[in-house]
Amino acid sequence: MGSASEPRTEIPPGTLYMLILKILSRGRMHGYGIAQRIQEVSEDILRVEEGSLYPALQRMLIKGWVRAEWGQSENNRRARYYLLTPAGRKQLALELSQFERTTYAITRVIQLA
Amino acid sequence: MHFGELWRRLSMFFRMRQFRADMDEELRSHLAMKAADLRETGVEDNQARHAAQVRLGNPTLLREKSEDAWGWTAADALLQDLRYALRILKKSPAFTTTALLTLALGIGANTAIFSLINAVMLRSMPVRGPGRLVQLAKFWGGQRSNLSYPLYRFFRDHARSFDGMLAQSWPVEHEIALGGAAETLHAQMVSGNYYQVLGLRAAAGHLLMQNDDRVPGSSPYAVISYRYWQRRFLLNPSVIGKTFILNRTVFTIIGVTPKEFFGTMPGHDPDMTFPLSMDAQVNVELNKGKSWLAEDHTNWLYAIGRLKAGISLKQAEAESRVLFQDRVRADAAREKDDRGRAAVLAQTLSLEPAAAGLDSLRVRFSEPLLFLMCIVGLVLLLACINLSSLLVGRAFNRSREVSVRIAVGAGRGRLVRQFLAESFVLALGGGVLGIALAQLLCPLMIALMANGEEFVLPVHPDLRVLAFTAIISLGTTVAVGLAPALYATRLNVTPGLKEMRTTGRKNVFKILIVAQIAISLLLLIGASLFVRTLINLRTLDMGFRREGVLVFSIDSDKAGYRGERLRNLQATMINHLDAVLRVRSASSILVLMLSGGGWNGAVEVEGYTYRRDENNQADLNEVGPKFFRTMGTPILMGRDFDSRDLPSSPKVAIVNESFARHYFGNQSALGKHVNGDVIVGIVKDSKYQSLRETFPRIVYFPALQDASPQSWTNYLVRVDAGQALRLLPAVREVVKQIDPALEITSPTTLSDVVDKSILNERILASLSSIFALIAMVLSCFGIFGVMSSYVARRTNEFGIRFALGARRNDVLLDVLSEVALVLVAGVFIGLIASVSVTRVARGLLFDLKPTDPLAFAVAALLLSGAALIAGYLPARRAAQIDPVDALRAE
Repeated sequence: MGSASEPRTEIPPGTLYMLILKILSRGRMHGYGIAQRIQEVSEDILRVEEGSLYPALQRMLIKGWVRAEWGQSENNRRARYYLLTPAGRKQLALELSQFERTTYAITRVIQLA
Repeated sequence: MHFGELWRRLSMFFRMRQFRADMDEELRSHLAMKAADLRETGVEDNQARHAAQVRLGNPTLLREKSEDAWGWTAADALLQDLRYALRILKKSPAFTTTALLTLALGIGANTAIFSLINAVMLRSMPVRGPGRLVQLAKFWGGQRSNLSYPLYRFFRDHARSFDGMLAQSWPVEHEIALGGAAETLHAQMVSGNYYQVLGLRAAAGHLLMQNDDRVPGSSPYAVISYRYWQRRFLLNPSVIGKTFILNRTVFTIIGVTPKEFFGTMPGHDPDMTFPLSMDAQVNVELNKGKSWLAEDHTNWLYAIGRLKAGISLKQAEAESRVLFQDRVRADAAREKDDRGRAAVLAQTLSLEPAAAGLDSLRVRFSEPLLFLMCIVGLVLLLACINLSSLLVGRAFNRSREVSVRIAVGAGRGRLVRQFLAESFVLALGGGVLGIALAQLLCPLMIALMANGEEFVLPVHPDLRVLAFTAIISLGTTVAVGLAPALYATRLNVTPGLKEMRTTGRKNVFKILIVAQIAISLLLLIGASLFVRTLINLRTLDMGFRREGVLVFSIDSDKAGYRGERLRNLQATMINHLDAVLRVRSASSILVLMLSGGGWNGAVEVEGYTYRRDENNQADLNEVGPKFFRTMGTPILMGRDFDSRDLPSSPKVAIVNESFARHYFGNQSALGKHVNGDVIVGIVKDSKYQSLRETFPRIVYFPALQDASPQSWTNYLVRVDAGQALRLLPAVREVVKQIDPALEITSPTTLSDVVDKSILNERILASLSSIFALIAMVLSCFGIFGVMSSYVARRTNEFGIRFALGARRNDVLLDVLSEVALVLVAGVFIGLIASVSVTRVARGLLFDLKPTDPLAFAVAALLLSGAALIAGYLPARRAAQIDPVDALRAE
């Protein structure tokens, strides 16, 4: 497990929900898949700890942003899949626009200050 | 919280098991997928699985963290705690039963007293908008006074602050003939608008209406109460339209009041209401056939108004006062002299909230009830401390278990919760049993308060009572459980595991015992103050001998006796009663002393001029021949009334000492005139309206000289010896011989009349004694328990001491000195608390300081004696320890 020694970036607080929602916006996915996907797409810069991922998924279930269902994984294993709900889609749009505003603002401050 | 979210959380609570299984499977599949991915990169199977596990961490912890998100962890832990508590309590049934019974008694007594306070002082009547109802309270020279019918009408028609104003009389007994049989019931006269102002709807038929008040004598209707309907007619609807006869008038039952309505006078539940317009027909006896409706000076009505929306009590009061003052000034202008005008002008008016009904019960019982509330509150507190000390003992015995749990990582908070769960289960059980017990205690209390009179008080537990019980049960939980919980978690892990003694334990016990002794002492001192008050009232010189006097009336009115015939009947009655075997003397009195009634009036005394501001009133009474001899009141000068005092002979009067001293000073009052009558006797002072009053100035007139004798006079028969009531059959015989149409009514004894006048004092003395004794017994059990375990723990040590030659008495004294130490501390604290607290009871004491040394000493000695006995039993056991056995057991 060579990656353990590589420098790793913590996911900025508050953005984990957004990342999960974004991943799920492309289709249903299980917990392991979500973590893998974030790692792959971010080119190994971002890594989700299982210890944060599963509690976060529970909170999203409570909020009603995602649903869970059991399904068959790629290699024929029973896995719990998470799906976006309409409320989750709305939440994603909201989080994205907020994130963009914040990033834009931070970028401006960095460039112009 | 969003509704959907709440729903999801709630439904999760009931699928916890499923949730955990799902979560476990999800994590397993996560591990498997991770391992599979690693294998694909060429890692060996074993290593892959291991790496995946390392990466994931502790799956149980992860599952618990995920579970936490749903917010049910705490509730789940609580359920576990409660289940565990139940298991622990089931293991020691003796302890659990004692604890439950103690708490049931404490909580039950509190609930019962609170139910009464609720019914008497707090609960609103079940009428429309009770908060808008106000009572017109008229005061005359500081004394509460009722309203006359013309005054009521004046307010009803002129005050603009009200949406309506009702009036009602005091409920009295009437005899009616219904379906051919005579029966006695309680009835009240009410204004026609009574039910409209209250906003009530009939349970059957219809209620009285405004019009029923218009023309005197035109509305012979009656509305009956739900309970009378149930009792007498078994809720049969055909009761509507039934007729009955009352004083030769035929009345028709037109309706039934709602089930939850008990009238507007707490304590009374009139069976029937008549419109005020029927006064002359209903109250034939009382009014002598004359209607009180036109009487300006007969104050017999209670009035309740409904405030208009937006008008406050203060605004309405301001308006009513202006109206009232105008009227009073007009009345005063008609008086002949200054004194009369001053008397009329001494009237004032105020408005009082009447949501809970008229305040007669509140005035009578609120003070003793509040005291009883404090007393039972202290008893409950003591019961809690008592249980607490038992639980500390159990906590100590469980110190090994507790230490193990701490050692394996149980949080202290969780342990405190565990102990609180135990006391919560006890308090919950005690609370439920307590509510049941209160249902038994309330009727007993009501019977005590009723004292043989008509007294109806609905005390079914309402929300307020249940909330009260819930709150005190929760308080009980904390009071019982906190000390053992904190104590147990202070235990150190190592000594607990090694079964060594921990320090600090003895102090907890001592503090708890000291607190119990202090509270018991406070309760005992309170009880002895109330008992001494009762003794003082019972043994004080009331100016007559209360024992052995039979008191009764006869219904001469119904038999048609009036005027001179009535007077002759009274003379004959007394003569015949005198002749009965074992009767020493018989007489009569118009206003029976200490019966709640009174009669006073202005007196003009020969040779005496009043100062301008002086009160010219004296207490008056009318008595039969040989009255003072019958009562055992010494005649200081002159003579008793006798058969010489007839209408034709000179008018005479007898005055008491206080009267003579006030009006004549050192001069003799004999031969002087009062209101034109010549004074022929001076008698010793006696009580009239209450035992607590200072002796009033009384003028007695002879009944046989009264031009218009009253039918409601009381006959007095003094017996030679023994129970006065035993003479009742003989007396009945005499009355029948005089006229078979005559019946004896309300027979009683003078002793009972006196006792009735000190009802509150009797209730307080008896109940406070009972509760103080319960408290004392509880704390003695506490001492006994604690000392027993003290001796048990030191058996080994005592054995060694005996083996080394210690004497039995040394060990006995050693144990007893432990008891004496806590006893002295408890008594000291209890005394200090009592000195500062008993002051609040001053108004209820009589001829006694709130710090009465005798009461304090009796209480302290009683408690000390009981505590030493409780401590002596374990001490004796310690002294009888066999050293060989003790050492062998080790």
